[in-house]
Amino acid sequence: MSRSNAAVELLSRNLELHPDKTAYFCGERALSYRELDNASRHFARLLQKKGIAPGERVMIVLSDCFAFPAAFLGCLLSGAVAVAAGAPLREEDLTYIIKDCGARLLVSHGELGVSRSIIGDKVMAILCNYDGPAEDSNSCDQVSDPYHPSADDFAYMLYSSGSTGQPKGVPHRHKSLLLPGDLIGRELLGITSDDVIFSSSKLSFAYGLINSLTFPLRFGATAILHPGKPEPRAILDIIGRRKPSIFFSVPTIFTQIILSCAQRQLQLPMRLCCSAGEALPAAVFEEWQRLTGLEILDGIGSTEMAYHFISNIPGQAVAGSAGRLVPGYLTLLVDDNGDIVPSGSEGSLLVSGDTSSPFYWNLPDKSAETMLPDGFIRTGDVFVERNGFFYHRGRSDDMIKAGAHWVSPVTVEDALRSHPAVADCAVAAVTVGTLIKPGAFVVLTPGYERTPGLAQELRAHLMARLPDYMCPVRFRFMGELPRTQTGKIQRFRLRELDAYQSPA
Amino acid sequence: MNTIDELKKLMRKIGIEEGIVNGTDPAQPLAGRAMDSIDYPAFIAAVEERYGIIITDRYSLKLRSLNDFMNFINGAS
Repeated sequence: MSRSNAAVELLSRNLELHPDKTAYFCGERALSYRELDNASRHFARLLQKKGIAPGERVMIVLSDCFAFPAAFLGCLLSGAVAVAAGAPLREEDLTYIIKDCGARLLVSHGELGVSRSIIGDKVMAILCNYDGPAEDSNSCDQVSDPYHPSADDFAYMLYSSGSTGQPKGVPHRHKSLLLPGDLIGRELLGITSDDVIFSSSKLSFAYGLINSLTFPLRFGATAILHPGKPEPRAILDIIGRRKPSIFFSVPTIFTQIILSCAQRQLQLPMRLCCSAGEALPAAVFEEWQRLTGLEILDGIGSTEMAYHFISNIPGQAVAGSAGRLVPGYLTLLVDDNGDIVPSGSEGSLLVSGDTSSPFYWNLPDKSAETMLPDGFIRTGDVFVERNGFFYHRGRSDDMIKAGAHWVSPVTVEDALRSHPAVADCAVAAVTVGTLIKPGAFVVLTPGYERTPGLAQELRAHLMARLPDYMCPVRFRFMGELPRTQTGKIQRFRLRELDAYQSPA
Repeated sequence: MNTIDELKKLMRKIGIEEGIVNGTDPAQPLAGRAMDSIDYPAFIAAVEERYGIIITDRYSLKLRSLNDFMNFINGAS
């Protein structure tokens, strides 16, 4: 049995040590390590029976339930590349990703309504319920000899939003799934088999995948899966019932839990709370600590690096900072000329490490721009470093990180321009209630008036066309947009305008 | 129109359903009941615009119910 197949690494030790221990909870149900191993091997066999060869991509569009880890690990056991895509994807993104990754097989829930018109006749489908594939569910047929990957074989691929609105495929090798367990799970967080892990971020995101797949399985711990939306009451209910020792979430969710709390104090069972996805505002860190007595460990990572490379550590978290460099990674802060900036100065963050993705799928030009020949990756984030701690200062491009989702201004602007009242528009990050959200700056078509009703109409127009998190929370009507001499919109000036202009 | 009614009008303006607005208890937190993480910043933005005020990061985490918003607005005016 190969030891370099990440799925084998994550499953076999648990099967030997504690086969009947619970690997996952989902709702009222539990899945043991033996059941997970069986389900994964059964799924791998199903892929083989469908004619899926090693190296082929298999697209997984599942919610967080038992079927997800079984399908994901099953892909790795069979040698297929698991392409994990978020369930709340727009149809056009789903269509694009299936075509881009070249998957011949889609794994999804029936209720997601993935229609034949999207996947086409050439793409097969395996429909799953929360437990696993609905077809062939009683078969005991399993893969007995897992695929032996080479060092260059890809294990999985995630899609990250692109600046032009098209998702970018980010392939990873088997080691990218395992190393964060050792570098962060063991060394920084001290995860053991006694831990119960709950991540409100979903398995289809890099952060959620490591939280809910690598961390529990690497250490023989137990994880809680929540297939529904991460709403504060549902999260608090799960925390109350399952008593996780580690809670992974994002600033938006921590904020929502704070705001939903009527009491002055909140007693929680966790030993660690961790945040990522967007910078954690110091005010949220401090209010959470006041409310619960717990610190939040903020960190920064990327889909390209598989997980965090900068993180706070337990007992030493600093409010407003993403933390220190994770041992095993290298970072540089550079100016526009590529020269290293001194400590205390802002610079664009470059990172290097063994979990880096080698390129974007089918995007050689974008890959060359981002993945540099010396092994460093441009993160697109601007940071300042002081005394070893890193502080996020924004993006070097125009992308907006809102509620752990990437929002391309171009996508929102295109949708906004489809309304007849909009002559011109720009979308930029604005800060509302501690959080970064998209804000719209609109030049109206002659004949339309600036009224609150029109802002409401534009919001409804976008809500019907875009995911909620992409919709601007604020609309400002302007006579003209600030542009460069070459006509490019100056979004940084819009951000300044929003920050300093009193509401009308 | 009193402040709570005006705030409920702003809730309708950002697209909260009429039934939810009418059933909102001014003393109870809005998050997780009447508003989600998308509605809440939109509501803060609407309050800022209506009353010509800026709600800073730290205050925004204290403003959990309509009564909290009312007290903040009345204190600010």
